[in-house]
Amino acid sequence: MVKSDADLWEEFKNGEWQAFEQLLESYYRPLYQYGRKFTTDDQVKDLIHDLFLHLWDYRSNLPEVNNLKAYLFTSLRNRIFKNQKVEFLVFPGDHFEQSDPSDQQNIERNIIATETSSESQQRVNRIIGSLTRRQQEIIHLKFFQNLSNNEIASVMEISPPAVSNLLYHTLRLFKEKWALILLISLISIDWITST
Amino acid sequence: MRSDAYLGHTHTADHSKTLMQDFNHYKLEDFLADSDFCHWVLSPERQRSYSKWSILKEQNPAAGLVMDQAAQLIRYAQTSAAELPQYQVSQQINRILKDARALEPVMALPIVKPLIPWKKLLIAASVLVSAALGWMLYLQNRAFTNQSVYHAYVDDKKQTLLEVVNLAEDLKTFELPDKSKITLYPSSRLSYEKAFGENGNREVYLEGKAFFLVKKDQTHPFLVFANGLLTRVVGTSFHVETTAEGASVKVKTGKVEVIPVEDKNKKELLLLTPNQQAYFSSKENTLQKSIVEQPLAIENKVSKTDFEFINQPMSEVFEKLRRIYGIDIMYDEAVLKDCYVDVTLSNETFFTKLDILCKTIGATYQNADGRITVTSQGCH
Repeated sequence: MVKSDADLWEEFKNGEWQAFEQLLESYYRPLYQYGRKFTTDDQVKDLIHDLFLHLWDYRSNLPEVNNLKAYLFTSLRNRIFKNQKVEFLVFPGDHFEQSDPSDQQNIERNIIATETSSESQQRVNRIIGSLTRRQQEIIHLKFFQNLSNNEIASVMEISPPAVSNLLYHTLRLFKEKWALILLISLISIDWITST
Repeated sequence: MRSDAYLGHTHTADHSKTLMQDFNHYKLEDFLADSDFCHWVLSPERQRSYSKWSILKEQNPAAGLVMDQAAQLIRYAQTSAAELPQYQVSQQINRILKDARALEPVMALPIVKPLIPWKKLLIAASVLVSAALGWMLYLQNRAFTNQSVYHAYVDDKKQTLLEVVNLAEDLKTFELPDKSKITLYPSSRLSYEKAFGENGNREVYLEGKAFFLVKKDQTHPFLVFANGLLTRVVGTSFHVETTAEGASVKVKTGKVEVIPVEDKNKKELLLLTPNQQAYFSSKENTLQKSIVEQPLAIENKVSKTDFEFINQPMSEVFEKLRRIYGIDIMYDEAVLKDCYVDVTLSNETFFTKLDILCKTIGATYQNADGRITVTSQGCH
């Protein structure tokens, strides 16, 4: 029996234990996966633990919630950033200098055709690893958690236009770095073939 | 700056010509925002079969390149998400639930009868991991209770029972529907019918240790079932504790009746008064009555001068002790008629007071069957 989020939340607030269990079953994993974007396994587990104990303790005073997933994500995010003890994972791209690649369309096409999928996936990992934490966060929320722009706005506590903006810049940077890395690999192939 | 109007825009056109025209203008953002495209990327079956996306990729290499970019980004989002094995999810969920219970151990929860985990188990049998986990939880739950009769009581009941468990490290007090107050010791559990006291008796089942302050109600006797020992009261306060060997009851105020559960329709109940206790041995099915180790004054207004005796007849002194502690002291009045004491007592325990008094008149006492019997040669 699957309850709607609204019913589930109402029952949770009324102190129904089953609603508590169901809430955890539904949202533990997504919350963990989101939290792991910022911090270590141990700390995410502890923060989610504390979050749910807090929610249970204050259940009768909790607000009405339109979007349960976004509400829980926001609550966890606040705890992550409030917790001074959290050791933030270092994202290599936090100080990445933006580059300005030229159009490499034709070259890219040739390379792509000869690449194996795992090689290209590794390349994508490198590219995204070089993005800032916020850029990686929005990619996770958008393409893994499948949140809408409005939901992302409430989780990241920015306006919906700012979400569109951040998403646009993230994707543009992704495309540019993709092209840049192609260029580098092409030059090295040229160098190998010419020697 | 270009706006993101493309995001969220989805194409439904299916005619291949217009389709190709449409997708010619598709940018990375558009592919990413297309839920059907995302689904196609993540579905190996759909990738193998012929679809509009595979046609597009073949016919339009430029679009194919962008599609690759989009596909890799989508796959990245999936593969970069942290893995967490199901057993760890369950472990963490149980940790949260356990701590939440400890936070509020006075919460009465419906008892899940063994039948239900079995049913659950069968349903979950197809999912091996969750089945194994359910079994572990079931065993864990059994381990908590299996050394006692408690489980048998609870399983026997047709009615829905509510259970209160104290998983915290301190005492927890809660109220039953009849306003009786229960103080539950750590690692103890108590259950009662959801319709508590509605049909006749107020019945509770205990494992561990609890203090009961029972609300007086002559028409609904309050019954405690604890590891083979039945305690019956109408309104009083007392402790009940189950042990591996049986159970014990200690009376604080009022009258308490006890009997082995097996004998409840066969024998008279054993009456206990304040500062008396009864030990029940489940092995021998016997009850033994005695005085508690530390009897406390049952009268609230005990003053210091109550224990200042100046040339007082011994019989009066014993009567005073009997009244203050509610403990019967048997003595031969004729033998003690010439005994007088001059002694000032204060905060000594009941038994120390008794020792001092008996020594002053050269008497001895026996503590048996819940009362004191004084033996003396008299005073001359």
